[in-house]
Amino acid sequence: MSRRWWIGLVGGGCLAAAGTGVLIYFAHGSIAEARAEVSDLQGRIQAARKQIAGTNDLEREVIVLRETEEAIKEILPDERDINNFVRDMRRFEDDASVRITALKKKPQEAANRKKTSEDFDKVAYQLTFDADAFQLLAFLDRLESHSRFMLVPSFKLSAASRRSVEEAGQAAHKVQMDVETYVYEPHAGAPPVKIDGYARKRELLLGEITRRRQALSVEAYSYGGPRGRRDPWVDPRVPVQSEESGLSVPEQQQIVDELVTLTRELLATRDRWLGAANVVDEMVARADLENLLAGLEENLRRVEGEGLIRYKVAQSRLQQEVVGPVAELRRKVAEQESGNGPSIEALRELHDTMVRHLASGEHDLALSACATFESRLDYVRGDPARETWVTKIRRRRDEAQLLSDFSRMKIDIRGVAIMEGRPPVILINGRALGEGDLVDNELMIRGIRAGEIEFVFRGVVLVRRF
Amino acid sequence: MIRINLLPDEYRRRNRTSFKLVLAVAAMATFNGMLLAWLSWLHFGVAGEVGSERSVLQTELDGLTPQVTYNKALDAERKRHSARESVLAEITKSRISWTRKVDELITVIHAGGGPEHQRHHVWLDDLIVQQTPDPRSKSAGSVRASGHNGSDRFDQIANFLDDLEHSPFIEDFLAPAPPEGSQTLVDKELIPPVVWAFPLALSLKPPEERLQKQAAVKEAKR
Repeated sequence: MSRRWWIGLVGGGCLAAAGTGVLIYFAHGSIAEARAEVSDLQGRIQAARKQIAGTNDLEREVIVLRETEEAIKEILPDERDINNFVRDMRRFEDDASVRITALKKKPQEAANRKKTSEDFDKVAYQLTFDADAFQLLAFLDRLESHSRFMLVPSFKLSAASRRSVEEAGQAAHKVQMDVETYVYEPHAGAPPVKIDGYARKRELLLGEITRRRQALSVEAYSYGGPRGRRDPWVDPRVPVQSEESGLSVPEQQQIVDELVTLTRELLATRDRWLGAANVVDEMVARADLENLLAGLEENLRRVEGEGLIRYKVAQSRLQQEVVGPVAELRRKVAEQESGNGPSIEALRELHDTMVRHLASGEHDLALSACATFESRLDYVRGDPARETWVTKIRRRRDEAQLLSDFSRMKIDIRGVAIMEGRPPVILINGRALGEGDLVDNELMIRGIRAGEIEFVFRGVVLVRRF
Repeated sequence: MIRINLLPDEYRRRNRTSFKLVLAVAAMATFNGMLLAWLSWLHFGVAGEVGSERSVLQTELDGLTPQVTYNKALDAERKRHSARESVLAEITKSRISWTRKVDELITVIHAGGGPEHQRHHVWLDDLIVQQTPDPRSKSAGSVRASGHNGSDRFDQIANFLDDLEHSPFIEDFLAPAPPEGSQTLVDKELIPPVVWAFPLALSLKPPEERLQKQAAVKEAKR
């Protein structure tokens, strides 16, 4: 073989070795890649196992969250519920006795829309209404304790003027209030994952679901009403002559509040009477009405007679919410009698009222009570049962008249001289008089004793102690 | 065919292949053989083993994939719900019950007792309540009012602010500004005839502080 041939052979061998070397190099590379893949797979498997290990906890969490989602829907209205939100405002207006004069939906930009989440949209309304402090509180309370979440981020109250409060008897402050709520409209996302044995798993998680729902629920304040407090947006100063009443403004307001409550009860009884389904119900309601009406009139006479209410605001309210409705009701009751005169219950109530007034020394109030019936007492002729009561009432009236006239007589006692063996002498109205002497044409001294004098007035013996 | 070298010895040697060359060829052949053996070992041994391990692991991963997908879907749903819940919590927790606050303010004013009790005799002309929803805002909100005290004793304004500071009303507010005021017109037709006007301005505490306080109160109640 030629030398060239050999050289060729060696060269070929070298080339073959180089080729094989390259193949080995690539084989190594591919093995390294495969190993990296293996390592990656091992990592992924490990991560997957770790992830899967938490599936049970995740399932539980999702079940709890799905169930609390219902609570969120209860707390926040959806688009349809916004109409109910407005209806609720109307209901709150009635319940709290405020007068809403404007309801405006605020544009979202102006309301400084909060980009909380795509699922929550802020809805803001501006309300304008008239209310006193406690009506405002009642309204706020209804807003803030409603099952739907409502937020009052701002409000402005301007107090009613002193004159308007005095005229109306009630404060009508101007209130402008922003009310916000959030509409919950979950955007369509992936459908809920199907969880095997959902109902069973949910049962096991009821405790946690309840706890989470409670945590979401909105805390509300329990408002306890006016509780005899005064409206701080009403000027509480009283006119100078109000000192005579001796009662503070809150005390006067409390008296009027109580009378207003009684009047409302009376009006409810009137409705019950007018809407009675049968004769028995009507008679029962009528008796209750007479009873309440007589009691309220008695209280009113006492309050007016003693001049207890001097605070202008309370006076106006008393006039508008008590005196007016009571007088109107008395007129209606009289009309209902249609010429038959007062019922036996009414007469009995009148008599009892007069007895109570007389026992309290309120003769004029007893006369005033009788005066409301006076013109109708003659209608009872021919009804022995009622005539008996009319006779008793007239006797009480005469008694009250006598006592009233006697109390008005000027009897200024300056001193009494009682000496043994001599007739006693008394110094009345600057004159020294003895037993049997006349003080006035109708008033005679019957007896003089230490500490008391007996008079005869219109044939009745009366004693005055001093 | 047989080939016979008929050349004399001295000529024959010259044509003979060099021993070194033969050695080199042999070494080359051996070397190539070893390389081929190595390549074969890598290809059929190591790479095969790694490939088989990879396919086993892939099969295992394929088996786990549905469970992982289920887990991921659950997690996505959890995140969706959690986000809503936390947003709702944020909205509801920042709310101040103005029913409570106004009720407490009325109680403080009423407890002054009027002129006869000589504590204070306050009434207000207005009330402006503003709560700032933006947590980045400097102020969380305020309550402002124009007040009057029916007495010539202007120290009653300080009494009123004292009572306010010691009432539950102040829990959500920073301390009020020091008392100030001015005497307004004297009306002898009314009791009391002298009235002092004063401003009432209170700033709301930041929400975090309010929440901390509420949490502390709840904890104390437990």
